[in-house]
Amino acid sequence: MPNAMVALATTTLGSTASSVTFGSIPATYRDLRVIVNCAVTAEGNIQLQVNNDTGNNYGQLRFSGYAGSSINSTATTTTSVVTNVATGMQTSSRGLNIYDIFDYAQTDKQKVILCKGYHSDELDVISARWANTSAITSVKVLAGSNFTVGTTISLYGIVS
Amino acid sequence: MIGSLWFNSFSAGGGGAAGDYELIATSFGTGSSGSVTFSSIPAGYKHLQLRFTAIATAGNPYMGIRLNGDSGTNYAYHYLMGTGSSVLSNGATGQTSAINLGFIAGINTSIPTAGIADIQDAFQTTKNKTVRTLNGNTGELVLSSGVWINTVAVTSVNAFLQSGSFTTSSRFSLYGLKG
Repeated sequence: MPNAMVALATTTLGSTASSVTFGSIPATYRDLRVIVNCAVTAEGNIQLQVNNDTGNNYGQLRFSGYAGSSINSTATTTTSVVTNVATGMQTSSRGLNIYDIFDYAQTDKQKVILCKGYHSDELDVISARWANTSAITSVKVLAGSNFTVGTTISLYGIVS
Repeated sequence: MIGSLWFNSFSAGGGGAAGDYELIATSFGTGSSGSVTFSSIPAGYKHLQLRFTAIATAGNPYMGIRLNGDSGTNYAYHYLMGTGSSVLSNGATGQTSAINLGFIAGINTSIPTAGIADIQDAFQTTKNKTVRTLNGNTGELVLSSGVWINTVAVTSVNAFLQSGSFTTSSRFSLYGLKG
């Protein structure tokens, strides 16, 4: 049988960039996975938006763990899926975010995005909802500042 | 240079070359049943992974996973749940038909609960079977682990609701990972 997870695109930055967008994503797959292995030039949050939607349409529930404090859970509605709140992944401390976007091309349901975010100061686990039933055709990953040279961002499609 | 990057070029659609992560089957809710079963699972894999988006026809029932149709008291689980205002942790042993293996969030009637359940070493006959899950919607977020106290190979996976049915928008896909 063919491999069910297909690498659609990947980029390793040769220069700093404030965001990376994967556009015109084909509707061929069932789920998407985005892997962000990054560092940033200044403290900030890593964010994910779909279909260039900058509205207040992303509900999210999270666990966050910080060094020296107990785990907490928060619920917010924001303009993006936000990870690494209040701390950053600066050049000496890389971070890894993995986003699973379920049924991205299905128009009978809102879209759920599960995310795990790791770096040396913080652990985030997020369940997010994009309050829209439209098919997702683009995914944008934003640095609170800029992604450094060497940051790698990959997009995968998962068949069903 | 500082700016934004945009990519529009992708691989061809469909599955790629033969690989180590393969789709076994996909099943959808019917609107009249709260149970989805994958049976006669081929044994050519190391691990299994169930990916799902589930919507219930009524209420907020919890979803369970049962292996090989075993409804005996042979399951245990522990979970960490976030509700947005609090963090809960709990577990139980000797489980049968409630939340058998892994604890999966209440299934909303309009907002999908999405999740990934990994069944480790599903075909190894020298160890009990461990399942880990990450699942959630915007009401609950759950990390869980469960065990099925049985060393036989997994041949069927059943996802079921405590009550009600899966809507026709519910989707379950089972994958095999080689190793």
